[in-house]
Amino acid sequence: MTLILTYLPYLISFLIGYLFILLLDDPKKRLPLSIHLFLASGIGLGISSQITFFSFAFWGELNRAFVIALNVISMTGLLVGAIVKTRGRPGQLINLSHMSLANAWPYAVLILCSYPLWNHGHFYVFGGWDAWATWNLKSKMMFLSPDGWSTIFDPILWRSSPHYPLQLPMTNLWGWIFMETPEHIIPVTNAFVFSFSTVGLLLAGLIHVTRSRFSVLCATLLLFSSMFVKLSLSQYADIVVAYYLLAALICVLMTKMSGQRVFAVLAGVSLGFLSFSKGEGFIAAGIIFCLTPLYLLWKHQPTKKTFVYIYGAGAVASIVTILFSALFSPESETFINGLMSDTHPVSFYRVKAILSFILVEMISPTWNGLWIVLVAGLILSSGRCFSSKSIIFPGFLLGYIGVISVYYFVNTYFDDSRILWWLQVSLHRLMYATLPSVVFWTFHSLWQLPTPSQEKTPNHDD
Amino acid sequence: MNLRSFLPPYRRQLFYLTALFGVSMMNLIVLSQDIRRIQSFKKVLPYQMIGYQFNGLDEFTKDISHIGYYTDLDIETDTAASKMFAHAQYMLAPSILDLNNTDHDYILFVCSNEKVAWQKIKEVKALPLRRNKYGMILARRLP
Repeated sequence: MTLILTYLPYLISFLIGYLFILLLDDPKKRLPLSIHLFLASGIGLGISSQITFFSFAFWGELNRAFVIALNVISMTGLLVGAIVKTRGRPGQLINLSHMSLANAWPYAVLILCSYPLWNHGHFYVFGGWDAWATWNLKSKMMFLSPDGWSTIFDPILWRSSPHYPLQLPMTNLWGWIFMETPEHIIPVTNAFVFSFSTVGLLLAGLIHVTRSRFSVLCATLLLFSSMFVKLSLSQYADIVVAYYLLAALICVLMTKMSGQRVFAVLAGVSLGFLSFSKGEGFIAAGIIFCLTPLYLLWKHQPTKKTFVYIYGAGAVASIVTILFSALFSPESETFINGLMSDTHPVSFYRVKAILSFILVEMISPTWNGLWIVLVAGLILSSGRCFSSKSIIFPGFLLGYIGVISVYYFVNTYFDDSRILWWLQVSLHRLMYATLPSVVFWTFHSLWQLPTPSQEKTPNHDD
Repeated sequence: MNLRSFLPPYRRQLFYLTALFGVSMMNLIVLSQDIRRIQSFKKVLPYQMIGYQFNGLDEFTKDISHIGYYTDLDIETDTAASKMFAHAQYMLAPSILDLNNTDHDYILFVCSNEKVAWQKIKEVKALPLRRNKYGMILARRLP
């Protein structure tokens, strides 16, 4: 019984995500099952998490009846909609058209290679420092405190960054919804689900756009990286950022490639959820929101509806972020604008520290050469990494690195004597959150080379 | 079976795949060491514990909204002390721990040695309520 109650919220969320995508899908051009499944897990959890937020927004505490009822109603409503759409043919609920043993083996490898994620996660059940000091602490307080979520906004708790968005804590609370005590299995499961879905989505997305089963090497690249495994299971919000960032970029790319409504809506939804995942997620979502029209219009003629779907879905999915930022989130206690401060002014030393640290982190032995291989892949793509299809990735990364560098430069709460420490404890996590997207970009760029039969002149490559 | 048809069409793709495979294998060696280490830990502990030093105190603190947390260590410079404070806060949540504020009715004393804790308890005129086996003392200030 305990086991059922532990995993029941995940089943409900998964069904919500799955049926939501099914309703958006074009029956004549169905999404591949793998992409559908890996998007369903994260989108479903995102929806349940946002429903949980409204319980706190309305009542200031976890109203279990409201959260359970709204999730069950959403699931039932979507199920009825799916049955109507498929005219009661259960076979239409799952797209098995691409399923064969030859197509399934990369996913079998994915499952096998995910053993370390499972094994490590179920040993380090409390996660890393920021899990017990920030993310899980907030979840536990909101779950147990008689004063509801006002406890987490107490100024005494400034070390836990009360201004941070609450996507991950809300997901933890949803996981505990059928429990009396905040069991550690839920944050463990959340970290595993997001990590597994991120790598799964990377693999499914790459197979879909490149048709190469060698994409499986991108999955093993991440799953065998001890740094990736460690950070994935630290129960930090960075894995949530990594997932929604990858989902948003893949969906924007697929919107341009296929023009399908489902991708446009999911791009908007992913961006909305990304904005509620962490401060960095908010910045990332903002940059992609701004770049998307330029990307879609470059060498392409999207319909007006495409923009309506992306920005309409994005606006709805960002309501929670807007409400939280405008009404509930306290001011950051760890920000000093160095451009305006006399006591903590900015200095040129910070520029040198930031730029050199980015380069040092890329060649750091902790990554075991991972970033070097990715840069090599981009060089080997001979400029195709900047093609009209791929340009959203470098565009986003440049913008993101720029904004983050400016933030490191301007925020002199961590003055010159502490900026190296700050970079040391935070930069690798920022890079980690972008890693799946960079892996996708690199592999996709290299597989955009024309097939030899398409070449105009022989031996033009290599 | 024609091996060439299985391989990617471009040498640069093949080169990249080889590099990906190489890094994956290098990472696998490191990861397998981690897995072995965890397996050996699991023989002693089913999972890693944190904050066990505060076991048994939560049943006394669960209804207290704010608790002073006194330590003679500097948590800004001492990482272990800082970690201990974070563990205490997590284990005793939803009570809020107020670092080195002894004005609260209830105070948790987490000191480098118990002598220091008892001295401070006397100094702030508090009455010890509970001491666990790890030497953590929960005290209440006398009115």
